[in-house]
Amino acid sequence: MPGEHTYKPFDADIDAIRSAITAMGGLVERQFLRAVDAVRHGDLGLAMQVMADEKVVNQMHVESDLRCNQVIAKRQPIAIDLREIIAVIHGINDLERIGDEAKKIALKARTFEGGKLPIPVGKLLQMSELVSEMLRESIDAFVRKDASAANRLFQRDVEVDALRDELIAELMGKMAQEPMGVSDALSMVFIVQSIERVGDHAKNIAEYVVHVVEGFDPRHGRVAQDGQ
Amino acid sequence: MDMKPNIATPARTAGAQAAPVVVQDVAVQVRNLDFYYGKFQGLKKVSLDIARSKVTAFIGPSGCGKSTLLRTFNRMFDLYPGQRAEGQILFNGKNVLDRDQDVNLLRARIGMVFQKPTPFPMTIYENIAFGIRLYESLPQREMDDRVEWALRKAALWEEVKDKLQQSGLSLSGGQQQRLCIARMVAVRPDVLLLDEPTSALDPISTARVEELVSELKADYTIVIVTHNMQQAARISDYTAYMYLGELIEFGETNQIFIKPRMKATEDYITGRFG
Repeated sequence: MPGEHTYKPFDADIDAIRSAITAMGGLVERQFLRAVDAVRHGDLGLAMQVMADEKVVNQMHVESDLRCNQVIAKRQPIAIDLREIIAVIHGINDLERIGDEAKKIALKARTFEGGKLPIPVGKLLQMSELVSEMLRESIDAFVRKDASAANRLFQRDVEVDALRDELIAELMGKMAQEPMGVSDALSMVFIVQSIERVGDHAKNIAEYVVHVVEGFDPRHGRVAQDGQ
Repeated sequence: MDMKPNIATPARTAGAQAAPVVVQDVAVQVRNLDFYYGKFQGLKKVSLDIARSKVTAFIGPSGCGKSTLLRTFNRMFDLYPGQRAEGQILFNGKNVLDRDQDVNLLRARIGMVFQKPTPFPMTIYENIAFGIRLYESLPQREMDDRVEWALRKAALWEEVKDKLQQSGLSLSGGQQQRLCIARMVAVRPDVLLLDEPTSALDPISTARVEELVSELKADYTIVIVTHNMQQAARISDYTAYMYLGELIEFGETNQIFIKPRMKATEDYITGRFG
């Protein structure tokens, strides 16, 4: 990993940006976990906290974006510095969208006030735990510049996709069997889809780390490399 | 002259492997070039290809040998006793370092502009015509046309066409530098060597010279030495990073400034050079 810049304020700028993505990552992880708990327990209080946090996340997104713009304008980063700042700009977009997905999940908690879910909670919890681990690991990988995390997250994303498919199949069956429960089951489908998307965003963040460390863009297989 | 593409093999730092870069259309080939200031060796076995009709930038810290390398191309070092170059610089099928090389002719084919604008203490017109007369005898009408052509090439004509008889020294720094570029272009060289051509200029004049370089590369092979990393990134097609007289990395500018192969290059261009 590169050492310190000769001009130390540049290091301070980059450290501040890294801190921002860590703080934002921590906040959206909390949002996500609370949103899932809100659904699980039908707890509208938790859902309200997710909504409140979303405003903070949006504010952090705008501030971090501005800080990245300022660093580009003032320091004119190149090579690994440029790749890292571009990765932060991409990464905070993903984190903001995770916040949006958490909000969508939390809004659905109103459907299940009192905690009565259309399917057993086990698989949903398993999926959300996998996704929250992915999110935590992607932020850790970003901070530690661990390019190997992308492969691990790719594997977990496959597991998450499989769980999503199983859950949606179960919910479709439920809808066919119980026409009166279609609305609840459909709400649960949206929740499952949102959880799966959070995993996708975590995987994206890990892919940005690969680009920072290796200078290779792993998104969309090798397509993005052709122009490099 | 038909030069086969060659592979420039950059020097390597410990533990790293620099992939060779292939230049397709080569204007100047440098092979195993050593340069000495008396007993001090300023360049060590430098090999690289200069691409035709492209801009190649030499970057590196002060004393790394980039200006030394540039000045070997038209044997500017001949002017200083005790300096000598060994190896090959192949241009138009000939090693320019050979003893029988006509140095005046070489400097007409490979022109040079320096860090500080160096207009002659004569009129703007004569600044251009003087160099042409050294190599050609043109009738007045043709000389007028050539002077105008050179000043247009240097994007200076519109600014000086009504004051050609004024002293070149009356122009601004940026205009003086473009006058020097016009003077160089007037003798129709193949290669333009620019040694930190904008380091004494303000940002607007710098932008004009950079724009000029981008336009001139359609007709000329350009080699530029610059301390300004962003300038190298902006205007060059190829970049060579030098350190302590060695070529550390040579590659396409897009690659060097996004993902250099050598850690030493990355440390330098990102400002981590201790």
